[in-house]
Amino acid sequence: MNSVVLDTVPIWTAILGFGVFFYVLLDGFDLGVGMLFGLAPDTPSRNLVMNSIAPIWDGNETWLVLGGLALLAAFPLAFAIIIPAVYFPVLVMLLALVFRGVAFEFRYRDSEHKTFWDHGFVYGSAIATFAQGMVLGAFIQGFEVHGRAFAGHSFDFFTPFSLLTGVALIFGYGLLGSGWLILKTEGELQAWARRHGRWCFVGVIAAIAIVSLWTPFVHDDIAQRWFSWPNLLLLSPVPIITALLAWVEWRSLNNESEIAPFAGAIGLFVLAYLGIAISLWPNIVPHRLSLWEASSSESTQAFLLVGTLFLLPIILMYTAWSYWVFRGKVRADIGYH
Amino acid sequence: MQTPAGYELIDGRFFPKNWFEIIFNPSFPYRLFHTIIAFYVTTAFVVAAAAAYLIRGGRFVEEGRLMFSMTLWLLSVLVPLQILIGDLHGLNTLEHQPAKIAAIEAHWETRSHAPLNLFAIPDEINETNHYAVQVPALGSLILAHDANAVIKGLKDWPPEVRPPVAIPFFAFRIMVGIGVVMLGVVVASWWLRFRGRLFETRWFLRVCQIVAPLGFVAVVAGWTTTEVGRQPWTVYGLLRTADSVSPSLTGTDVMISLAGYIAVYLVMFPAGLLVMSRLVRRGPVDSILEESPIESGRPNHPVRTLPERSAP
Repeated sequence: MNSVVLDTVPIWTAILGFGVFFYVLLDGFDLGVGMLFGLAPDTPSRNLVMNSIAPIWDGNETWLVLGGLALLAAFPLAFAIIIPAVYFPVLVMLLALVFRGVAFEFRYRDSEHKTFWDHGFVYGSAIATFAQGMVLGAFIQGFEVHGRAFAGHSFDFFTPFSLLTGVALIFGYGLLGSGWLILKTEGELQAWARRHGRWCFVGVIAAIAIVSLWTPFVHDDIAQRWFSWPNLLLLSPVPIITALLAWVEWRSLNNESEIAPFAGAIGLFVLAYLGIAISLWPNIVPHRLSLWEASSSESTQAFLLVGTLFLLPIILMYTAWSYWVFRGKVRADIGYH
Repeated sequence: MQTPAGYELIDGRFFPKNWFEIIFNPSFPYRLFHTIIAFYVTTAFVVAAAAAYLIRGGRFVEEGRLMFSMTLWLLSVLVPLQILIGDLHGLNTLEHQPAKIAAIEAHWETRSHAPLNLFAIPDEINETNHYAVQVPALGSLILAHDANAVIKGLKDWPPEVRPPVAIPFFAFRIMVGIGVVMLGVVVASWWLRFRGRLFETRWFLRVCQIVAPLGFVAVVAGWTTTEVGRQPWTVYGLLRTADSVSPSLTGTDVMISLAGYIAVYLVMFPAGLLVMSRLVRRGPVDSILEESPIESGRPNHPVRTLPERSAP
């Protein structure tokens, strides 16, 4: 594959990377809102909480589809290894998302069973988040690979580390979700979101600390990446900025700022994502296969790129548009479906 | 993957060679249009049933008639078109997947003037059919549009590359049977419309309500026919289903996941049906006005009267 005029792998890496990150960010905050919904004090505030994401949550999930398809089509070998390895958490996530997704419609169209659908919404969000966190943990730990296939067992994903990342993501999405609610609500509900945001923040910082200390022990090459010279110096901005940002986030959760908690949470996610990317680069199947080794043929990548580059701006435009249309504080007297 | 094209095999792996051929593979147009029309037909029968319900109940008769009339016009075009495309799809399948056709028709012997098995109990062990009800030569006529055409039988293939027979055989008959019933409904609607009694014929309204779920059954039956009939291949003629399973996946894993799906959908389907039938029962009211108070938590506010919907 030396005769390539244009190497499409970096482009697809960027599409996959941004697609997955957008998913984590966007569905992350609405899954977080879904979990906080369960802690909301009364029905009117629950209605407001749900309405704050009702117009945009399903658009957010399109990024999951984009990420999955980019992995399948552009890096089929990685797909073939990773997906069987995380078969159960992905399955559980999808089934949980079913409950969560229908709750938006069913809780008021089937109002006799409203409590049931409310629970479906909360637990669906929480279980989907936990499952995604476990996928992440299993991914960082790496998979047993023989030849071109996953050679482990379907339950290999289940480890103390992946349990930790599962819990970590619950706090992470919770922080994003409370940031969103602080942005979209006012008065008592906003104060309530701030309180829960602070709890989630504590969880997130604990999780970031534990995961950052634990990850280098999971694999030697990750320790090498961070602690060898001169990487130690070159990569030092990542933990330093994270610490600074954490301080800013904590302050913003305690004062009156409305945008900063959400922005700060996004910043923390950017840095955590960057940290994982630095740990694993340039591998797509961690510790095993590089992006280039797992990519599909040039012709496939080029062909798909044409369609994707055409569609991506459209997706970005309608996503931006829907956020613009539903900008501002969420109100009690308008329908949001 | 039913009729793979435009690929090349290098070291036992598939690589794309010609994207045009890959997308516009031989069975692509038939499958695409057959499936899309199936969804429209299925939906249209549900709409017709909702309309029949409104007309029979005497509520929203005006809206019900409009729905009923428009939907039956749509079905008048789509149902015959679907049968035509299904026939063309059959010719295409005979060309590219003759083993599937042999299983669908439970033909064991290769012969001309092949009969049409209206009913039979296929016996895969003894390679024969029991209790067969046949129409001579009609099989060749339908499948190849020529009574003299030679139709391949299952015995032409060694047992290890034959699809199961009973499942595609019955699934196909369910699908076609429903197609015939649907055509009957459409033809009856033409007659009643011609007589000017489309909205007044109680039995016809009732029939339209009863046949509402049939589209779903036909879609699943057709899907079963084509997917079981393509066995034992995932990529037809090239990659066996048994060889395409992820090595790490055990039968237990698959059972667990299947049970999970079943459990979830046992909740979701009844709930969805309940919600949808409630929408139909309520009729075409101004749903936005009625729903938003509940959804936005207004019941906790002082009751506000909705604007009267009186005549101007």
